[in-house]
Amino acid sequence: MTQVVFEPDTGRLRLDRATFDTLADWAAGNETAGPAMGDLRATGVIDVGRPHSAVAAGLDAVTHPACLLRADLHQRDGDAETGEVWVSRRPAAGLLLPLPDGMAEFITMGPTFLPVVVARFVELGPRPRLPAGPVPAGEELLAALTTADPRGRDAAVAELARDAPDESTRQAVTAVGPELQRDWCTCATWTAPGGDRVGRILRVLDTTAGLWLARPQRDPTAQAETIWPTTPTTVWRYLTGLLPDDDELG
Amino acid sequence: MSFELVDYHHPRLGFRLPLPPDWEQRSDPYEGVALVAVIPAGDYGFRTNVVVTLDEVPEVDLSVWQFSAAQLLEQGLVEFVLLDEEYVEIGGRAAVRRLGHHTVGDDAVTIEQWAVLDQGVGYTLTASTDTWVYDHAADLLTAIASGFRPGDPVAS
Repeated sequence: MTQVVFEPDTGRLRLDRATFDTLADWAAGNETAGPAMGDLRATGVIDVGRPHSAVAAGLDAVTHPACLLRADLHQRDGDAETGEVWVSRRPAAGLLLPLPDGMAEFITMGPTFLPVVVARFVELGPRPRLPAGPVPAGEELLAALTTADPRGRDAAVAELARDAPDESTRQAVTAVGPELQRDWCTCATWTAPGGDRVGRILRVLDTTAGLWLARPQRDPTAQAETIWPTTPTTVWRYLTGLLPDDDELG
Repeated sequence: MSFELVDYHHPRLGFRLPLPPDWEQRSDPYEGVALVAVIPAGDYGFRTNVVVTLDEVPEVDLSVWQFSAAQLLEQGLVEFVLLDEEYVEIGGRAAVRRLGHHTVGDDAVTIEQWAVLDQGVGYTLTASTDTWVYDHAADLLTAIASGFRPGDPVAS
């Protein structure tokens, strides 16, 4: 059984993942038989063989993406959520965001609103400033630092503290263990003019004592090497610069 | 990062701040608004701008004044999201700096605000820019705010 809730006036579309995949396949010209197609037609998402105007630009971005963006959020309690975004050259964006009830919401919007959507998704907001400097932290250490296992996290914190350059930084990294609330990573990828797949990535450890930046890199395949204390303003600047400019697209 | 900025001096209220020389400026354009400075029209629909407003805030400290100011932002701006808030210094005076996001028509707008108290007058410098260009504009807006100096209406 599928579930589709569509509000034509607002374009708000709630559906399960399988139904979304059916809709995306249909928009790409690959119609499949099944109850999902019936629900999409009955609710007006598909209207006389065309996508409803409120979702058409978003679906076009899904089928003709110039850029893909993914945001992964891990909460301290172990909950994990992923948001997916497709951005077209029109420009328009289609977003698929998880809902608490297990459904997802598909949103069509202008890409300029993406930074605030990601900010809401990862709960970016005011944080204290960390009186600390950068600390070496590779991928394995980061993974241990953000694990739900308290013992693994304690061991990672101890290793970080050993490499801290000063006492203030040592205290700040020691607090990451008990004060980590969530960690998140958002990655935008696209095809460059030369044909290479390139992108930008941003990974943040969000603690009650402040924010740490792990991967503010132009190469999304590069490994993390260091964590830096950062601020919500710096993170916001990275978010607003995450998507490619026109001259970066192939 | 350095910018070409020229000193603006409000003719009646005496406050000063540095502005790009090609920005349009209007002193006292509306009741309660002391200055509006706007980037020249360009490709983007929403034009980056700086607005200075003044409030009389006698016998109130910065945190009390700004508590109500923060509430006004949330109530007055469409889909406002507070992204950052911190205490800073402007010209040796304690100030509050805020970063937020709101919607203006079809535009996603990033707002950055500095508030400073001096001799019972609360100065609020509000910078707004299209979110798409915030990363490029942020250092300029910080340079403008960092150069703000309260005025002395009597002496000016």
